[in-house]
Amino acid sequence: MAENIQATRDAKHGMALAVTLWAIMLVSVAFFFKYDLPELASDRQSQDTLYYVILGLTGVAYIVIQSLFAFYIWKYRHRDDAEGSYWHESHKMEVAWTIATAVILVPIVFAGLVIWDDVKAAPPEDVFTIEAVGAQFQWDIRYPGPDGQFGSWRPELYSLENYLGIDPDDAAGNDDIHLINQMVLPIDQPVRILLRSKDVQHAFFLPHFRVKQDLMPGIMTSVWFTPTKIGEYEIACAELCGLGHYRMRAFLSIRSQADYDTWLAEQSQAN
Amino acid sequence: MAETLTVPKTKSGDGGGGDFVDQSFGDYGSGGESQKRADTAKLGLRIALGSVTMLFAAFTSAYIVRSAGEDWIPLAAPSLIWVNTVILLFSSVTMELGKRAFESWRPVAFRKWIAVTAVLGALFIAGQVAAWNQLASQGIYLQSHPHSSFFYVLTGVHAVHLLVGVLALFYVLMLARRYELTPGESSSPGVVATYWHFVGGIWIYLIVVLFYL
Amino acid sequence: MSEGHDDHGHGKQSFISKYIFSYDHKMIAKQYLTLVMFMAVVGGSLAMLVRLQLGWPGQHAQFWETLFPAGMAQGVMTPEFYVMLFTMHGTIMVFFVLSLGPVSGFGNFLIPLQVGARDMAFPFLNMMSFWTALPGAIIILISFFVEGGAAASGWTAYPPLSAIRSAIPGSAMGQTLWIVGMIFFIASFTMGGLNFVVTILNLRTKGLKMMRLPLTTWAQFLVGILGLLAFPALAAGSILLLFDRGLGTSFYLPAGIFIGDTLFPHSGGSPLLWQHLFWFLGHPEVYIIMLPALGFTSDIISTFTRRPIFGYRSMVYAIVAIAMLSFVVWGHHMFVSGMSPFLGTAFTMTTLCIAVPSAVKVFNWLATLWMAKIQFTTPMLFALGIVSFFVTGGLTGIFLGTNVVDIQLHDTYFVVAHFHFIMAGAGLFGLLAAVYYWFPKMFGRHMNERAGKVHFWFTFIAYYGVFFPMHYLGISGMMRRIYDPNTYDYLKPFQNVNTFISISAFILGLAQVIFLANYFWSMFKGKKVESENPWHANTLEWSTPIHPGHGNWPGDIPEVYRWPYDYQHPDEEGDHAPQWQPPAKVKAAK
Ligand code: HEA
Ligand code: HEA
Ligand code: CUA
Ligand SMILES: [Cu+2]
Repeated sequence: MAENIQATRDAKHGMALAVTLWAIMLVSVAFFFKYDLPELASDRQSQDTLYYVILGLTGVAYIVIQSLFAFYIWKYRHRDDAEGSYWHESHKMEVAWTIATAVILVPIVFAGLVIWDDVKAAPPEDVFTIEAVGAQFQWDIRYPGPDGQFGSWRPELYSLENYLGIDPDDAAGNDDIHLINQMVLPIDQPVRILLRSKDVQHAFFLPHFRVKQDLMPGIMTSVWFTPTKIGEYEIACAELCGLGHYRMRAFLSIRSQADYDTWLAEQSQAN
Repeated sequence: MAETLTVPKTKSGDGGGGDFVDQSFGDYGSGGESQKRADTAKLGLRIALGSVTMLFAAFTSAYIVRSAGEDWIPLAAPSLIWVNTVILLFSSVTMELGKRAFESWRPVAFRKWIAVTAVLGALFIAGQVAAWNQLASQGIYLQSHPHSSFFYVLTGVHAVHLLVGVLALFYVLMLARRYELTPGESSSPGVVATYWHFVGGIWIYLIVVLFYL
Repeated sequence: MSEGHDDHGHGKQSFISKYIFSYDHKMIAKQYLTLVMFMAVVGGSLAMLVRLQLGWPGQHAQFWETLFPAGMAQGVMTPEFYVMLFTMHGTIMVFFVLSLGPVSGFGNFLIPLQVGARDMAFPFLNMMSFWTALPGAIIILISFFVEGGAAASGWTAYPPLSAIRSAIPGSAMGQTLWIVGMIFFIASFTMGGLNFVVTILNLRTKGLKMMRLPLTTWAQFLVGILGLLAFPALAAGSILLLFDRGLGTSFYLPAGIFIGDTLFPHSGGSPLLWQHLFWFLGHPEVYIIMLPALGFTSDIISTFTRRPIFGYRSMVYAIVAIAMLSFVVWGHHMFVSGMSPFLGTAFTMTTLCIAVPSAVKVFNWLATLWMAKIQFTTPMLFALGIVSFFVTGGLTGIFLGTNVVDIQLHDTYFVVAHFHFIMAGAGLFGLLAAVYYWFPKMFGRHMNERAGKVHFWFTFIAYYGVFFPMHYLGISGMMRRIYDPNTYDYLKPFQNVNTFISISAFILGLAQVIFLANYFWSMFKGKKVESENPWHANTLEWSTPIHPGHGNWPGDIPEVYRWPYDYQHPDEEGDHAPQWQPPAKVKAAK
């Protein structure tokens, strides 16, 4: 036992490690009170609730496990006279903590299941639909116009002039409203957004609305939600789509129904 | 320390004394060195085949996903592949004959059958090239449509595996000519035979997937 | 390194056969580790550049232009260069550092020594495996210097971005080289895995039952299996991607792709298909990185607590369970991709199941510390760091695994924090702990303890400083892979957090210089070890001579009588009874 003894017994490092672990634990937890999800502006409260539930459960697990870990490091740092132990198996304890972990997870899984079904459920009858088209590096937003009908589109028609590939022969398309990097929605009205990509994958991300959905070239995806707060927000692209990914940004404005109607009328006029 | 002692079971034992894995893979402290190598080669091959299986399984799942697309145009099998199939099946027979000749130690027959198998394998690959040409001359290329893409890619990947088999056969043949192979001592003919049959099996599987699914 | 017994009988080996085309698993391991170290320096430097940009977006320093004339023209980083940086950072770190290091490096070094074999089952294949990995690494590295630069579609290489040349201006050749390099890597890794599994199953010495294997070797065994079963999926996927890129097929490319002013002629392909194939590999891959680190942790903790590892059996069952489950959770990377919601539910359930065996491991480590006599050597400090990181990073996995919560957190810095804690943190600490612990066996010298401890303290604290604040950024909604977060108004308030992270990251990077200096200095000047078992450990590798030759044991291979964790056994003298020491009663009888 000659070599390394000097170095190995360095109990100082054990004490320092324990203190460091406690300190890190405290500081890292404290900042969760400062940094939070962006203020919610949609009806997706349940998603946040589950987030906080998990934050609470894992937070407790984090605090308990890291502190206990640090405590053992502190307490069992090497001392020559310390008693050792050969004990290395306890069926009961192992079963207990296996089951305990599983039990903590059950409510998470269960709640997740229910909320997921909610989020992914078909939208209500009165939903109104708009379209968001992603392309490097821009969001094109299309409203169906007063007739409530989108003009049909075909990829073969894509060109720099006909940016969305709208079929000029389809009368339903005449009154469609096309906005670039801008979306306006009325409050408290469920909205469904159809998502299509013209080139690569993108992701439609509304951080304040807890909405995120990939745009998959070749298929049409969609999300629906109900805005609940008037204000100006940002739309982000959350899937790497090339060098301009970071600036594929758009604006979302939530207005009262009256303001929205005026805005829509103006747009239709301009069209 | 190396003498064999019957070790009484003590508390220290192993992590509880479980032997569940050991029934099939015993201790190799005893037994001839060459016996050990033979088992090792066989085991290695079996595991490698598991990996190859996963490769084709991945291709198959891609194929199944893709064949649901609406642009799927079924491809008529080029007639030559049936000729190739027969060649390949036949080569499995000669391979087996070679292996049996080796096991009952008829060296001349053994070398003959291995050589025949290698030639048949090479013929198969040539036949595949011809089949691709046949398809191309009908105007069906790799990028023409998804089924043709899969046909070229899957048969191509298979051909590479068969090529490895042919090379292995040449290697065995080389050892045999240098009289470095004796039954019981060497397992390479058996290992190559297993591989050969496996690659043959993959071929049949591919034909079924590509044209009968 | 010549005292040892030379299995091949011929006396002196040439330089080439000893150092270059060596069959000796220990030399191959050192070759791997040297490669890994070089790749880690490259990957780490790329991370520093990433942090440079994020800490001070768009800052100007003429000096950079001389270093990177294209990427930092006028001294300001271009967005395309930024994308290349993190793409190559991720690729290099995941595959060429944390797969090649703990697995190909330490797996090679330790497996024959710990199972009592003279070499790997297939030494030639082993040599080939290194000589396939090296060209793979070179191909990946030179891709920086081809026209247009390196691959720039993320380490996940989602098509169409990775499949269509004009999707990223310039990145034509780089992406192709990336795929080719990956195929080399896969070939190398598969050969290695084959060797691992066969060696462990077949070449164990007398008395070494599976349930007496050290946990490190158990982990390597499962890693071998995972590699053999998972990597073929990426191989298949990459081949198809290569065809789509170069030969006009449409495996992944659907109709209606319009880039620049061109409508591409593809039709019917599915970008989702790549995601499935990639993550079918990708998830087992992250456990390929994790399991060896968990194995090292168990063995190192047991050695330096002078305690048997608690719950050996459940440790084995836990890693077996983790390995099996890792094949059925890949969809948790795709919750918002538009795959069927039903699959979303299924993948949440399987994903959360993995937390249970992981928890078992953590609790077993805690129980091992109970009543321990902890010796705070450098490897032990790093092993304790792994436990802390594994808990921190693992718990965030619960958020992400819950599909509902992942909607918000997907592709934000929360994910970046998660995987840097559990993978970069626990995984890299595993590699470092292993270097400190097995260095005496590799080179017959000790690494400098004092420098090691300084390295630990800077690295450990800086690690939390770099990666914990990323959680805050993530929940605040900061996306990953963005060149300049200040583009978004709602992210502007967090620039100070980013600057803090960057400063911590530079400290972290600098701390690694201590490690590299210590490593190379100790190789030649370190304190010589005095006995073949300097840590008084129990596993079989410590029964070899200080400088084991090719063949590992000069005489017979020792027989194994016990499991590797007999520390402080009540019936034995001394505080430890190595595996090759016969039980007290037998010894007495003799
Ligand atoms: C070594 C690598 C590694 C490991 C081990 C893990 C482990 C886990 N990972 Fe991680 N993961 C990555 C590497 C890794 N991951 C990478 C690289 C990515 C990003 C890829 C990319 O997009 O670029 C990723 C992304 C990722 C996602 C996708 C996120 C997204 O993109 O939206 C998810 C989602 O489910 C996930 C989940 C998990 C879970 C549940 C575990 C579990 O195995 C964790 C289990 C551990 C614990 C739970 C801690 C110990 C247990 C306790 C302390 C007991 C108490 C616990 C409870 C009561 C719950 N990971
Ligand atoms: C597995 C490994 C790994 C490791 C170790 C690291 C290490 C680091 N990573 Fe990285 N990272 C990834 C894997 C890893 N990362 C992946 C997969 C991505 C995603 C890429 C993508 O989006 O496509 C990513 C992305 C990523 C981002 C996000 C970029 C973005 O989304 O825009 C950032 C940002 O800060 C970052 C930072 C860092 C930093 C500061 C370190 C520092 O820890 C680095 C400090 C340097 C070292 C730690 C090296 C030291 C080691 C040695 C010197 C030698 C050791 C050798 C032996 C022991 C033999 N990484
Ligand atoms: Cu569009 Cu990122
Ligand atoms: Cu995963």
